[in-house]
Amino acid sequence: MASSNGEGSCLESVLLKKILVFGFYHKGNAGDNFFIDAFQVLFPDFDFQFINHITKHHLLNIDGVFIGGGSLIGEPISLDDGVFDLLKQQNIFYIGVGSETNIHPQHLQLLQIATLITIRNKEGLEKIKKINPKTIVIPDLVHSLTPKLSNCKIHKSILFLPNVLVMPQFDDPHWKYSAWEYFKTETAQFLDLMIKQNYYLSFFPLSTNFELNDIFAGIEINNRMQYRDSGYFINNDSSFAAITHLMSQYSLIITQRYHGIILAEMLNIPCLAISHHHKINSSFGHNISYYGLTKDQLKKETEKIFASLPKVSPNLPFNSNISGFEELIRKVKDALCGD
Amino acid sequence: MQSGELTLSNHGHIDLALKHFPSKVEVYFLDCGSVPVPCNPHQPDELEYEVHSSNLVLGRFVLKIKWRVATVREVVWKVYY
Repeated sequence: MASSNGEGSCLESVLLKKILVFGFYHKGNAGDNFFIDAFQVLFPDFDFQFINHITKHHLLNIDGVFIGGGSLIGEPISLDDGVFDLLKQQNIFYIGVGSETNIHPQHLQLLQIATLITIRNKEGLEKIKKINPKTIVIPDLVHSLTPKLSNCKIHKSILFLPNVLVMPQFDDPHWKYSAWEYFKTETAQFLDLMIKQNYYLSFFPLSTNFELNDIFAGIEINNRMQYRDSGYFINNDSSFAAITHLMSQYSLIITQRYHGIILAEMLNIPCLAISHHHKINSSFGHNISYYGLTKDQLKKETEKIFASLPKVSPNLPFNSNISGFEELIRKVKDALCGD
Repeated sequence: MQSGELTLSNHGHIDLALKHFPSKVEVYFLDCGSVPVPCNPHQPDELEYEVHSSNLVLGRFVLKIKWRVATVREVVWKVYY
């Protein structure tokens, strides 16, 4: 149904655009898998294929390639030999990527020719704009989703989201061992103190990848505790609704994961972020550094948060809001419309 | 023993992870004392609970609490081992 000003015909032409989306998909990382839902909410008319490795076959008969979301521009692109040159001929969009890391040479080449780059933090804007001025900042893509809220709040409850990436393997440098050993000992003492004070504790893995399961890290912390208990561990079934429903029951989120901060913000739950990486330096809630963290710091921050909490009240209804993404949607549709 | 309080509204259910299978469980509305559910036959509020095994937690047992309440209610839960 084309309108007289041509807007209708433009919209019509973006219907059923076939888009290949490259990122860390189908690898058991909840944060990355949320992007699948987010892209479908933001662009309901597009036909998406989500992949974590690019072959020649994937690049046939598509209208564009979305790269993102997440922190992936520091890593090489997983693709078959000879495919990179074919990829460079596509209409490339970087959507909702983190800009806090160094940039891998492959991404540098693609960023230079990208039709649009949208990053999720202002800090990296100038750096990326120097590579390609067609860069804008948008909220994290997960903000486009509507969480499912529980009708129950557990008083004095802590949901701990560990991060397996800080755990050393045998060939890692010594500093990584030292940091992890110190962190475990201090955190275990803090959690024991919370249990003694009748707090309800759970560990929840946002990544359940076969090799990188956050439960691995949670179990090591639990092993150091006097009040160790297998009942602290909750399984992750990976759906956005199930995860937000669970998280909304808790009164405090302690997170080593970036999307723990994003979800806590969306759910309006107090959040203490333990940062080992620049992206976890949250603008929402409280932050402490992973390196050299002490039980006293954890205790002080937690007491501060609980002291500032109002009387426990039920979750408020959540109003979905994708207004922060209007510019992204318009620019992507304009670019694809002009094909 | 494990214990705690919940703030409930509307209707729903929650699974609280237990250390192991309990010998005794109490769940009651805070403002009504420990009474059988439904708490007050003159009100529509209902509270049910049961202990069962679950794949949700590594500890295997959960206390499932279900409710249907007309206003915001506080609930106490106590699990003895």
